[in-house]
Amino acid sequence: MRLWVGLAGGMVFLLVGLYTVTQPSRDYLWDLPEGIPIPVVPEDNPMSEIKAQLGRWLFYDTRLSANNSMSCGTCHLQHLAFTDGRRNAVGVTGQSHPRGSMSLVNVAYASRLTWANHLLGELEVQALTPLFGEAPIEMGMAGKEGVIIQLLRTDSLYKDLFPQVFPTDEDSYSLLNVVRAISSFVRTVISFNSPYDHFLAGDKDALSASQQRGMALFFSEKTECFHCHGGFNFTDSSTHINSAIESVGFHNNGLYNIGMDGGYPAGNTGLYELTGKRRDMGRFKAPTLRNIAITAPYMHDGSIHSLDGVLDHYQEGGRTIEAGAHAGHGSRNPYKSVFVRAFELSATERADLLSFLEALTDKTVLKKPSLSDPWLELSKY
Amino acid sequence: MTDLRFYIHDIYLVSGEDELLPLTFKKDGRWQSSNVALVDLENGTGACFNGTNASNAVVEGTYPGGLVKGLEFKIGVPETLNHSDPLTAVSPLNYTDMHWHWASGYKFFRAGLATLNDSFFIHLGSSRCSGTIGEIKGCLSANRAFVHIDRFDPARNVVGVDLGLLFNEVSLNDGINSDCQSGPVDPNCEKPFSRFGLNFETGEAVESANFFSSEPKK
Repeated sequence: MRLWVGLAGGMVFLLVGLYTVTQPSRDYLWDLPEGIPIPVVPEDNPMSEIKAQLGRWLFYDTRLSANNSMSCGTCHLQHLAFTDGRRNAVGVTGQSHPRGSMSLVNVAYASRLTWANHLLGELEVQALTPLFGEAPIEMGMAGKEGVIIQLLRTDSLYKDLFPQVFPTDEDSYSLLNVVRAISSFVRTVISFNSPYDHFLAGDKDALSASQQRGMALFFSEKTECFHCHGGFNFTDSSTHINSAIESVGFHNNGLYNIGMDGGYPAGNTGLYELTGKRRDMGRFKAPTLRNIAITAPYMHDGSIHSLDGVLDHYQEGGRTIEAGAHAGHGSRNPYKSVFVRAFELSATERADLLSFLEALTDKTVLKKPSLSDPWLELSKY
Repeated sequence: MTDLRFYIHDIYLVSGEDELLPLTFKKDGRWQSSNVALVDLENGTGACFNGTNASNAVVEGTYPGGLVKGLEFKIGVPETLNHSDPLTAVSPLNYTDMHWHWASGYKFFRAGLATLNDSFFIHLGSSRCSGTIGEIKGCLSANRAFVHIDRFDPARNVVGVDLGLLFNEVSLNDGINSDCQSGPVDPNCEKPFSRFGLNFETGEAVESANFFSSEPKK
């Protein structure tokens, strides 16, 4: 028999999230300094050099967007520590994202991805949102997976590389393998070569006296910075193969307090948007502070344009917006993290703290050839 | 209209004695797997330019037989399949535009209307989920709508979808492009959810989605 769904008169009508702490990618040589732990890699997508290389081509391939204008690298520019310098990212249709592009530096260690999504633990899953997301439209490929598969099958580079990288697959030209390769590449964006790292490694001249004083302030109970931006990666949402417990943190830092009842601007409310729990209002992930001096503007919505402004914000224990639709005393946001509390800094202390944040810039990751756009190299020949 | 696609499952024909006769899906490798079917009522033309050329208005299967007086089905993807990996799933669960990569499950139902300077779309799916993708523990708001249609005989009737009813009270004249994406606190969802017979607070199906009806087969 058949059931028909027709027209009424006139009316026309993931994946392995389980971290395999016991199974690091043994055959892959991570480029890590002494003492830095190995990132966790999903068991079904082990690292390999050739896979990361394939991922690099894909990461920078504008043909993975609806109008061939954007690649992953459009919003994640190497020289800006894989951010884009905008307040809000912009997709292929010109639609603005409510949030700014996050740095990809050391993203292999991120226990949750994007600014505020407790569900996203794996790069392989996360990559699907910029590629196929519709609200907002980023790369605009929803429903166009056939175009991507066709590209893999016909492009002279991909045609050969996919079967080499995924030799046991019956058909290696798959979306699954696209996100696996891109994720492998992104996991190679490792940055532990800042003056701060050199200082930790024993080079006592790597940090100036001012930077050393700033470091002490950063890790003090006075500023409380380190509670959310602590650890080797300067974020409490970091996981590695020696982590006994996965660390995940989302925090309201008092950026807004609309209506004095803790409100954040509509469409940008953080974890609340997904959970509907009032206590999740304005809760966002604390991003890594590595390379923070070159990733302006700041906060999830890019609403603070300088590190100086960021210090103002935290020094006051939250931001006060005097007038307009977003008016309110962020410092009195009822959902604010207990670690965001007003403190006083002398002019010297402020300068010290700023200079310490600048010591987190790793210049090598901004220029490392293996992380650059390979299509630009190709076009030279 | 800018879009109209949805998944259905748990289809039953209601017998003359009010028994529920399950429909066993015929697997076709494209629109129907053994337990979920995709209905696609747009063809990628006109305002549906973001859609697909292919369309499907038929669900095919077998049932025990006998006199039938009604029809029941659920809108959406069963919970057991809703959090599987769309990149390894079989058709019809492998379309990137029917999946919510951000929210861990499928878009059960997507429909939209537009005028020259205004639009509204609905993406229905489960929300308030916990766990991480790959290991989702469940979603507090299932948002699986339920449809019950009286006076339905598969030999004589088809199912109608009345978008006028679904989008009733949604403004298409305020000049604001807006949408309901099943966010647990999205005020734009309140009215459409009531059309689906869903309790907006809990995500429970409390009554039959009222915009489906039995229509004569032509």
